Amino acid sequence: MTIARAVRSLRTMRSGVAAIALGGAVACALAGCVGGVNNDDAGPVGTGGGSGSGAAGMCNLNFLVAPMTPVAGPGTVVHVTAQLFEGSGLLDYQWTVDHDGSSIATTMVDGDPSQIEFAAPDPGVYDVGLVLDGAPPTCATKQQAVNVRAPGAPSETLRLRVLPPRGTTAPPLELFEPIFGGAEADLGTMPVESGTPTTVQVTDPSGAGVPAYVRLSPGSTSDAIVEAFTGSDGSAAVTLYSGPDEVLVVPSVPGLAPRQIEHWIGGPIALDAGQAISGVVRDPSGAVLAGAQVQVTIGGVPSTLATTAGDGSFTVAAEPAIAGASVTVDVAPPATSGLPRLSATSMAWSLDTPVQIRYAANVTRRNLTGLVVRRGGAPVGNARVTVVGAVGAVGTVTAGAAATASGEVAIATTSNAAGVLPSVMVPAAALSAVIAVGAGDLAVAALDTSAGVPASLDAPAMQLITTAVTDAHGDGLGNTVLDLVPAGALAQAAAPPLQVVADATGAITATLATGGHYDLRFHDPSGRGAPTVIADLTPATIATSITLGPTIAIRGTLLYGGISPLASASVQFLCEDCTGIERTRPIVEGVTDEAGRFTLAIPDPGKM
Amino acid sequence: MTPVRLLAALGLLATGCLYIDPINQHPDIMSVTRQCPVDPGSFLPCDPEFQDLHRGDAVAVAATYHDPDGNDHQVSYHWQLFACSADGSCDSGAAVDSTDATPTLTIPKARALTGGPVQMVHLNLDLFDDRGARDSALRSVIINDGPSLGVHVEPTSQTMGGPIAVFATYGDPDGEAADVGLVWSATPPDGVATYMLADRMVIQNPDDPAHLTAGKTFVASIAGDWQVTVTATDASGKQTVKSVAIAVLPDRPPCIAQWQPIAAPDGTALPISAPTLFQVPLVDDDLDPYPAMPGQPLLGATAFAWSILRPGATVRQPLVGATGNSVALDPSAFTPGDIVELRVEIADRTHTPVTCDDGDAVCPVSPATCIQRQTWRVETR
Repeated sequence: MTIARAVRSLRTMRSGVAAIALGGAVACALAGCVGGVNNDDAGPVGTGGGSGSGAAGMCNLNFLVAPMTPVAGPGTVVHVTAQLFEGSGLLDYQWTVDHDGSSIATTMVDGDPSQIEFAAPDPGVYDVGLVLDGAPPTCATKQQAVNVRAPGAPSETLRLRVLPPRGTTAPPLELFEPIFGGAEADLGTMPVESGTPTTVQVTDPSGAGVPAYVRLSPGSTSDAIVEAFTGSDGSAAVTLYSGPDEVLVVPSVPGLAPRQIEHWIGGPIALDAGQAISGVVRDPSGAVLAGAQVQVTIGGVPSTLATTAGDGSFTVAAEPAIAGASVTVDVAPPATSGLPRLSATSMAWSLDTPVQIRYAANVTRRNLTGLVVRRGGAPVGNARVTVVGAVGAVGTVTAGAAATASGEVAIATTSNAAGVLPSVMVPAAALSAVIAVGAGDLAVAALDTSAGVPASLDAPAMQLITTAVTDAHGDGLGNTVLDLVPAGALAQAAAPPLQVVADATGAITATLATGGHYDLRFHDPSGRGAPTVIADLTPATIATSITLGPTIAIRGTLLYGGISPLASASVQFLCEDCTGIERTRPIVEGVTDEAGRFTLAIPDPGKM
Repeated sequence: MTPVRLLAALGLLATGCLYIDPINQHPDIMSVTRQCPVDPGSFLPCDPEFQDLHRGDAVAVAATYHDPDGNDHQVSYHWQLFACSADGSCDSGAAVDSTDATPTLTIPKARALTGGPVQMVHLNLDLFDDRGARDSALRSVIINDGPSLGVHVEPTSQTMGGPIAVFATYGDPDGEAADVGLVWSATPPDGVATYMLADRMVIQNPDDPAHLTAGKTFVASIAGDWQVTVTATDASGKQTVKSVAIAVLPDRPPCIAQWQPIAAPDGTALPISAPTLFQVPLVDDDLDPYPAMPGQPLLGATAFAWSILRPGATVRQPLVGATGNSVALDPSAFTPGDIVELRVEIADRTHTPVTCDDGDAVCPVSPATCIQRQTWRVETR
């Protein structure tokens, strides 16, 4: 059993029904039998897929497939044996094998009609079917896919996320699936079990209910989160798989510290004021800085948000720090200060002592007043200008130990009707300005205030780009969808993504912000070309032709409770090793049909 | 003992005869009907009253009867099928004989006597009880000279603007199915509305080489009761016309079926401290679902419109160009503690307006569970 499958089994074992199935898998593994959709896996998924799989005591029809992991080749022969349990009588075996839309010839083995062999020279899915005349109706037929791998196929593990339709009692589910390249594959039947209705109760020290945001992450697949808001009585109804969850609680009322519990198995979650962390924020001159917002994040758990008082002091409530935990202090100065945001991280701070936050003396500021926003030499009135950028060491945070803080700038202002900016302070640094001339009309321009403020800021016109999206043969992939996701300065200014669709020939035109950076995300709804991401391109660096790699079709079937088809479930493939927001962006997504089936075209591993 | 048998016995006793035997009565044939197969995969015409029979058709027949002496008595059947011409002249001998209770009889293609085509058949049943009493029934059935034809509609949702699969299964008892021509037409409910009938690929049934199936994708431009008519014409010009009624439903609005992350209830906000992807992974719609369905060119994709209410702003700002199913929000682009509202509204090709107040976080149409708007109220941290 692969690690991925072990994770899946661990995950599904959290319900009683799946535990029975796993027991069957263990029994099969102990007996040395082989078979299953992925062939190297004798797990519950592998034995499903046909009407023959039944509960203990019922008639049961199983296939044993050898070799365990067939690899396509001129001499590859796959051997399938039908095993009928709890059934008897005179049986007539009618076998069929289909591959790639064609019927495959089979050969009876040793005169035994319960065994067949077939040649598998090509990789892909071979659908083996058996009609067993004379058997009890519950196991008279069986269909099972046999995956035959491509020789030397590279593999990649992906996360398969299932969002059951609202109205079912199954929580979100994530499975780790190793995908082998070069051929389509069938993941078989996957049970989606009902969860256990659970009440989350959040209380304050007096036992009174607290409204809060609650995020529950299963221990085995932490991305399959369940979220809830507790009501004014502090309770929320959720459905969870049994087992410990990591819980993050962020109260919606002041005075209580957010809390994280590593291994929550139920019961009330009591919040309190937590650890009071105090300190002072000072500007580059050493003067106290009022109106700055401060937050301390300890081990990923945020504190409350505090605003510095007139004397620069603040106090936040946080979960008590565990020794060695990573602590981050974030400061957002008042917008009018012209200071960058400040952030520092350390594992050496002692938060029992007052936290001293100080901007470096060399952080200087410029006033943009009088700067004229222009396009083509003409002033641009009512343009929204967002000054963004990263600044190196901007200060220190000291709490016993000292740590250097980095800075980020995000300061917005709007030109008047004559295109003139009002008084607004920004750090003196090599920055960028994202200029919104109008709705959907953006430009990115350098704004270097290191030595002073320029007299004007030019907002170049949007740039028309044209490209063509093709497959490996150069054929246009019509109707391919291209998402242009802002990166760099555009992302820092919260510019929205753009989506354009290729015409029937695969030609794409889009109007982009000159000077902007974009991540290009291609998705072909027809599955002809692989979902492709090309990061950090400017309008000038987008190629005139972009080739999408090959795809392989991955199919599977979701069974609710292991029995009935789970229709209208959202199915997504996501990358396994991504971090941040990329971890939540699906590579491809689809939906199950009335039979619980899905088919998704994913990039062929090794050819991306 | 029935009253009749009792009276008979009493009568015999009154005459001094010691032999007692009830008076047997013949069974009464109540009906003779065609047995249509209960086979959802069969779309050939089958009528219990023997309408639309063709030469070569295999016809399963059955009879019901009443025996005044009690239906527990065993009966025997003698079915005979006589081949006839249109003028009523028939072969003297039966073309088909059977003593089964429910035999399957094949309509002969030609008369034995004349060699001419069978244009009518006489179906005769002699029913005997176990004492030899008999009842007979004779049905004369006109044989259709034209092609055989059955029309059916795929049992899926039938929405205006959406693809509706219509199939015609046809054959020619006098010739080859391949020589039969089909003409398709549709009658709109208002008599004038436009429609489309486009060819669709059909996999033929290898077990029934005598019949072919043709398919059309029917797209109706308006809702209402439509009729799709197929006229089959064989090589000799004989025609069979069949129609199928299709109740085309109006387009229903799309529904946001899944969204992530959770939307905060009124008066609260979702705290986010890292870039977060707000997405609608699933839209349920009859015409334009999301994700789009590959291989269904007549189905489209959901249109997404995103907007943002920035901190302190009073007017929601459309995110121009953001027409995908997801938008990322980076809290670092805002001040900690800011409240930002991100909103998505969906539409299908009908573009039914979302009529709720701007302040409503969600906007449902009937039923209330079908929402076209979702709003995330977010606190940036």
